[in-house]
Amino acid sequence: MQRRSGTPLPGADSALPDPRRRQLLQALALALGAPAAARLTAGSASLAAALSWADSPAGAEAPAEVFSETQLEILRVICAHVIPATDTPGAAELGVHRFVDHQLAHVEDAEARDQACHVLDALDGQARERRDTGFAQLAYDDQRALLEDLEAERNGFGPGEKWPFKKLKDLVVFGYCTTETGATKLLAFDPVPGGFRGSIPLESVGRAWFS
Amino acid sequence: MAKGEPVIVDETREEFDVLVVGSGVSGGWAAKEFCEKGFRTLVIERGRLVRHRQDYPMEGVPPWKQEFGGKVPLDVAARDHAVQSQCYAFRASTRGYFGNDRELPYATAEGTTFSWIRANQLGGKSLLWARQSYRLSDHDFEANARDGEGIDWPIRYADLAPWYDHVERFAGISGSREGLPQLPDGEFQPPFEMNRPEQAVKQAVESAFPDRKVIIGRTANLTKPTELQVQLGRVVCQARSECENGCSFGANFSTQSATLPAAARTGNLHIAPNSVVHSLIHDPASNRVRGVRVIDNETLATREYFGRVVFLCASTLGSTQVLLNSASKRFPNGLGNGSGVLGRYLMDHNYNSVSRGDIPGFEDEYYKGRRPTGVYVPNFQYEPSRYRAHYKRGYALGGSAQRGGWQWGGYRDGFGAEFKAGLGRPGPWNWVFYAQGEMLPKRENRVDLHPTLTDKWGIPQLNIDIRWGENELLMMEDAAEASEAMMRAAGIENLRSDVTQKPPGLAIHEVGTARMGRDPKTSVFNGNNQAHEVPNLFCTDGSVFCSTATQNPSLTFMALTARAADFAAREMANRRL
Repeated sequence: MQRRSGTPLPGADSALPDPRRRQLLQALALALGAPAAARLTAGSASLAAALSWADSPAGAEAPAEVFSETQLEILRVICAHVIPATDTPGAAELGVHRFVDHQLAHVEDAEARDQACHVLDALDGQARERRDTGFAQLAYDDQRALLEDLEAERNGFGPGEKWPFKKLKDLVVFGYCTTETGATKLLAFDPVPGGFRGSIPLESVGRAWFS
Repeated sequence: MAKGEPVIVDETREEFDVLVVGSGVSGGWAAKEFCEKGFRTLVIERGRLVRHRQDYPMEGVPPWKQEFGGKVPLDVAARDHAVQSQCYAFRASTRGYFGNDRELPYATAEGTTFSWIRANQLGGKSLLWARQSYRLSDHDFEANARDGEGIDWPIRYADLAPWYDHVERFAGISGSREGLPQLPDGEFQPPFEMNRPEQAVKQAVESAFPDRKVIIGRTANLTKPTELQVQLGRVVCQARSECENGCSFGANFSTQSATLPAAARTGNLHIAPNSVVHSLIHDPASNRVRGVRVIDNETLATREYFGRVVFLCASTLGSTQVLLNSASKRFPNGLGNGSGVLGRYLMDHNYNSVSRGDIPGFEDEYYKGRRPTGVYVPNFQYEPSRYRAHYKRGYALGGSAQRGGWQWGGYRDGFGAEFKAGLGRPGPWNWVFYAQGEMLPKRENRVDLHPTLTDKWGIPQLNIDIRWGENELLMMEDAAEASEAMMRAAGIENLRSDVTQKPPGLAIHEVGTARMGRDPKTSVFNGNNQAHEVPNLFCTDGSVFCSTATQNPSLTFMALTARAADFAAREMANRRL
């Protein structure tokens, strides 16, 4: 498992508005004594982790556990179609296909694994039938057309492909949104909100919270 | 030993003033109260030590630093946590606080299921609890007497009210004052805010149903810490939603954050970890409990601890198991069980009705932070005149309004930049109501010791025999209908309800099996939580409950414990104990 531990959050302070941050530190210092408070907010496993920055969901070049090389490549292409690179990196670049393989190997059951393999094979089969080439080798637009047919249960795809695909897509979304990039760039990640406010304008966040 | 630190005990011949069995919500309170009153107190904990802050390894660990994004591998869950993994709070970051089911076997009667959630470490389930904190009212204490189920509670609200005050002030409960007869107000810190859709639902429900209120949940999270709380190292809740992972801010109430530091700073606190209580040592000549027999959690070595008074706070089923396993010639059916009701009248709350819907509008509204509570509809069928005709008693509803997020995003159609951007936008608002129903006390819902099966410590396994009755099933059907009616009145759309029959246990509100009462012929403990038949033996966890009421029980464990400790302390001072 690749775990690049990154640089500290640019100004851990930014997690809280400054006055609240000061208030919190003062309260902690009072409660714990200044050295303990400093340890807790700077060096402790807990808050350091809460305020730290890392990247990448899953192992970069480890061999796949569930998928063949061909299947993994198809899934990589699917990742690029589902969550492409925009102003933030896409799912394929972040290795989400490998995360999904790992997740299927350990967190999902045998049926989910079989279904995932089935839907990837079905895409490859349709590609060969239509263009006499593998799915991953199709032109981008042809890949997209096949994926759209799959979601719409048409042109050779039925519910037996659609629902396993949705499950796979859900794993892609989960894998991406739980990367550092997904959680903090596409979504808004707020490890220490400093308290709860029941009503704020959506535009003040501009994005969905990670949680 | 520095003041402020507990003394960790292994072998000792010392006779303590008080032995406290268990260190969860109840045990922590017993320790605090006795230590503060000057008694040398030994807390006997079957599991490992969990130190505040130092032993919360998963606190604040973001998903990208967890191998499976925070999920638990299936083989691990199936092998070690077949029961525990059914709990709503079970995840990779909390797994370390749940028991290993392979080491904690129990039996269930044929055709029945009970999901027994275990948290065997210092702090017990206080590390995992959902923190909802509600007082029982006289309607609850009188319910059995008024409708003829079970036996009458030996206490009334007035007996417990000052102790609710006492424990709320110390624990720190946030909530709103409402003046409701069925849900007495307390010593609250400021309430958490409702979001706008919740405020709208509150207004609509309350005007359509004058007997119903939608209030903010009362929770043991600090919103305005007192000086004492700050002294103990507790600061205001940051709305991180790290409660069950361990909160280094001490913002939620746990044994670690609150009662143990208070107990430890007296210098009177001793803790014996890894000490599985096998049974109580009863001296027939004096008719007193002299101490406890312990088996080491890890080495299986045996040892004994001695004390003048014993407080059983080992959890509902834990305490009852100890009593059943302490049978003797004088008490052949379990210690203090002359009545024969020990093990009987097991109850849990029924959460088998969940209703959901979509809230139109409020597109520009959002919230900040992860609020550690939801909204709450107090039981509106709290006295016989308000019962539905076809079943007895009632239910409370928990709920909340939230905006959908990316979590189900994979099931949306589409691809590409547009799909991706959609994941980054909050979805529509949705509503959930889940019922928290009373379960009637029934003699046939019971536990006993299995005749042949034992655990690794050689202790007979509990054999659990409980099932929902007709009353519970009817109540859940009705709760779903009532929930939908309220949601409809609030303009919530696309309503859907699930009425399930998940077995008891998963509410983790199991109570009963060693109930308190006025009559030694029908109860095990008296109105001071003192065993009718063994004067220096007390029990202050959920096993003493005579009914479930609809409220989450932990606040009442705290109040009963503090009250009983006060009583026992006075009895000791007067040399009656």
